[in-house]
Amino acid sequence: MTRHVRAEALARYREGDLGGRRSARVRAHLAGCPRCTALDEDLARVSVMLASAPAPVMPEQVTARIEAALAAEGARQAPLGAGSARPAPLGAGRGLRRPGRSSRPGGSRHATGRVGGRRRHLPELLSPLTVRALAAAAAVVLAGGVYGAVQLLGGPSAAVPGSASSAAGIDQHGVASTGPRLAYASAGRRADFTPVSTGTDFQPGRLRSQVSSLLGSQGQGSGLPPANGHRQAATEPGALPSAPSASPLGSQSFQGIRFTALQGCVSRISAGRQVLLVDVDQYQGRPATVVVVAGGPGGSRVWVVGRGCSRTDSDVIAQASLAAAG
Amino acid sequence: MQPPDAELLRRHAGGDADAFGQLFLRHRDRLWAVALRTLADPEDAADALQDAMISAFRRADSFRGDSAVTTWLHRIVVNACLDRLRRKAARPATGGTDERTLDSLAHRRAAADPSSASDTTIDVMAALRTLPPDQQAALVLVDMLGYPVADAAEVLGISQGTVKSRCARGRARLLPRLAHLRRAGAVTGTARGGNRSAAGNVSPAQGEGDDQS
Repeated sequence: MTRHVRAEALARYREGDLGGRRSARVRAHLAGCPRCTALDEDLARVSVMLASAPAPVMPEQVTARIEAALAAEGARQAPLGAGSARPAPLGAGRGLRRPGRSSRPGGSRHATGRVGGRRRHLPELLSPLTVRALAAAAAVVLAGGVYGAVQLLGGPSAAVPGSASSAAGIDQHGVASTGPRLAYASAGRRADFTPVSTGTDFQPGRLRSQVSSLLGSQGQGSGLPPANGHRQAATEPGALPSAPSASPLGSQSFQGIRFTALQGCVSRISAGRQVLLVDVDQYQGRPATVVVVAGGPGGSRVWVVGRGCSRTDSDVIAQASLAAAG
Repeated sequence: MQPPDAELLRRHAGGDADAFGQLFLRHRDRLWAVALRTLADPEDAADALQDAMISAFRRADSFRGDSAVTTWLHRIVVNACLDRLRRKAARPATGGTDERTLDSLAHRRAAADPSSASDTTIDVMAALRTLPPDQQAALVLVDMLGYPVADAAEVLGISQGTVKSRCARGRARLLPRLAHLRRAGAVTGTARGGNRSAAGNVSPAQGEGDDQS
């Protein structure tokens, strides 16, 4: 009787991975050896065992997180997106082949690095003017539609229930309204933000200073609040009458934006980072939401998005970075 | 009728802001399975998958159409996972898979992935972790997830012979570690989970929306 077959040789034999002569020898041996035949069967069971693990389903929070990251990447690459739009060609296909042999530890640097990347295929956003026009149109529809009030009227209290006055009613300054705490997807963990409406009409040239002043009124020297979990955006601007809005719309929307849309929008824009401010207001006199997201290269980012912003669409009107230096 | 993968990728390259998201949603479970089975830790898997998706998003024009879009996506995910595995292997915290590692692995899995928290799955996953990354990757694709050897070879960028060889060596190394399961009769020829009577019969090409262009 020939020698017993080692497990590895047997496993390779099963895969047809042995040369002809060795293969023939194993076959002959197996025919007369119960012990190696049992080993052979055990090897078959290893594959069955591996296959027996049920296929996992992606958890919703992972889906939301990656969708948000992709959305932010798309927005970041957009023409309005700041940052260095340098065309850093990676070379088609480079780094994709030979994964098994490549052992360079930085092999995924392009994947984790937040700078660079290709820009040739950038999704083109609608022109800012178009976007704003659409957003304004949407606001008008909303104002007369199911969700009713979009406006913020003067006085310390929140929006007037049921009023369907035009979006022009928003054009009041020094008025604040606060929405409820809403959850958003943050790096797979739960986090919330509190949308506010400070009555600010943000302007292109003053976006940074306007946002800084809103953030700075929290008493943070850098203009940025500490990155410690949840923050109640509504409580900071000292001059603001904190008016928790007993939502006139059955707790389903804030300033005419559905909570779910706002949550999706913030999840998408924040891409897992901490949200410092969500101000549902105006930009150049048109309805817009300003979202400030902490961290990242180049400091916090200010996103101005239109009413069309949701989990699936960024609707970015403008953006700027709040570099530490100002 | 949903647009095929390659069409979505073209739209993405052409500026359609939603196209890549659709592509991701379409294949997320399969990509997640690859990442989770390769890295075992759900947080690691999520990180790797996010890196991979961002990378694919940026490099859509490196897709040349000589393989299926799913294969291309899988390749990027597998590479991101292998990078992580190797980085971990390069600085072993405990010098290998000890009892503590296995325990924490089991607990984390149970917490994050209740659908697969059976003892058998945990044991199999733990045993798999003891293999070199290359063998793990091959076995995850071929035996665990049922990809044909040809597809696994394309995803891994190696020859079919090398895939077979890595699978064979991996199985041989797993044999003693899974022997107790066999003796206990925990797993028989009809695999738990029902829909797979044997390894290797679930092809990624059977999924929806594949495009071989």
